[in-house]
Amino acid sequence: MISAVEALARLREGNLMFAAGRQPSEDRVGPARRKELVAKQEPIAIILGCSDSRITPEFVFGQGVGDLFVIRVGGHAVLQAQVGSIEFAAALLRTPLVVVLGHSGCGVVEAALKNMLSPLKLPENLRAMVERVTRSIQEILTEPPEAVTEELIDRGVRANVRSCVEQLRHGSPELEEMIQNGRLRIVGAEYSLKTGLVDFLPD
Amino acid sequence: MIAAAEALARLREGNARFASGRPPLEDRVGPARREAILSRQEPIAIVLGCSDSRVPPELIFGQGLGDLFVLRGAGHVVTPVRMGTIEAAVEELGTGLVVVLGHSGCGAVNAVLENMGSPLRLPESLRSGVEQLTRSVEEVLDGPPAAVTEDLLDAAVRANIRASVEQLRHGSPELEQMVRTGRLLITGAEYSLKTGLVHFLEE
Repeated sequence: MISAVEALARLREGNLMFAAGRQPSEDRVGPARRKELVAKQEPIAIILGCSDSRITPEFVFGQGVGDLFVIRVGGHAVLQAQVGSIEFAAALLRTPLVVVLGHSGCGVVEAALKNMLSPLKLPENLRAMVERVTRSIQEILTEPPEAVTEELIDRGVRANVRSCVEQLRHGSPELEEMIQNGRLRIVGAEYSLKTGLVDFLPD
Repeated sequence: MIAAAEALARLREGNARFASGRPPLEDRVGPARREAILSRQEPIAIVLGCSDSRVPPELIFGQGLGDLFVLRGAGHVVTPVRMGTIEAAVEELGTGLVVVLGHSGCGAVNAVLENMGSPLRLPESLRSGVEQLTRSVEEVLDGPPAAVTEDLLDAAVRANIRASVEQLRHGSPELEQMVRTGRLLITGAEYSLKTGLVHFLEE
């Protein structure tokens, strides 16, 4: 099994290729690759990302079929189902790395900030999502904002990534233990819609 | 915004290309595409799929950046936040199609079948997902199975897809109304790890 450091290096390299407009070779997605994977998967990383159609983890990290175990939900909100999926991959597939992948211009973060400014009237399920992300942002952005600017959304995006990384690190006794034993590393990253580049946030 | 029927046709066509190893017709992933979707996304479909690294919706449906709004979690379990995310996509982006995408050899469904009748001491975070998966596959079972055969796993995968489709159709008053008024079509599909082909269940 690949190490977290090596997995990170592959993701960085793949992202540089993607941002430069180069794509992974055909053999990472074609029938031959598929055949290798019929009986088992061995992903190099677990990605918790946003549902936004513009941030496909496989594309932005230049990876193919079978390379990334992916959990996606609006604003990469950390809830039990997400934690459960991550544990499944970390424990059973022994994947050594989790990347929480936020992105510039995140609509869910924008909605959460607007909700902080003046509570939005939302149906139940949508409210559950926006409130979850609002709580993540509040851990870092303690003062309610005066106006929702692009700069504030940028800060909100990073706050949300950092907060989700922290929530995952202490998301369950099982995840905590894997981190303590050095079997699992959890990092945050931000994707820029403009440049196509992923910026890994310092720990 | 494109109609659900046309979106379905594009997904079928893209999947046929993928399965036969042909690349997508045009570059949907490079810098030009990124530029085109910089300020807004207009996905043709919402996909609720599994986290399994072998089933990336964009690749198996032959779609590019910005084409699919994607939710992924082990066993495509339906949760309130996932429903909220789907509601947001229908409401804000006008997307008119949801595909619940299961797949052959699903590890989450297999784990549930293997552990039925001998209750696992599961970590808290896995419990609710496993319980929901158990309820979803129970309809194909006559009590805990003596052995998990390939046929049984196939039947359980399909039962789980149908259950997620039903849960989404009746999951919230908002989704129910979107379906009733014809704004939203929710359908189930199964991906074969062997052939690379997607089979839509209601055809």
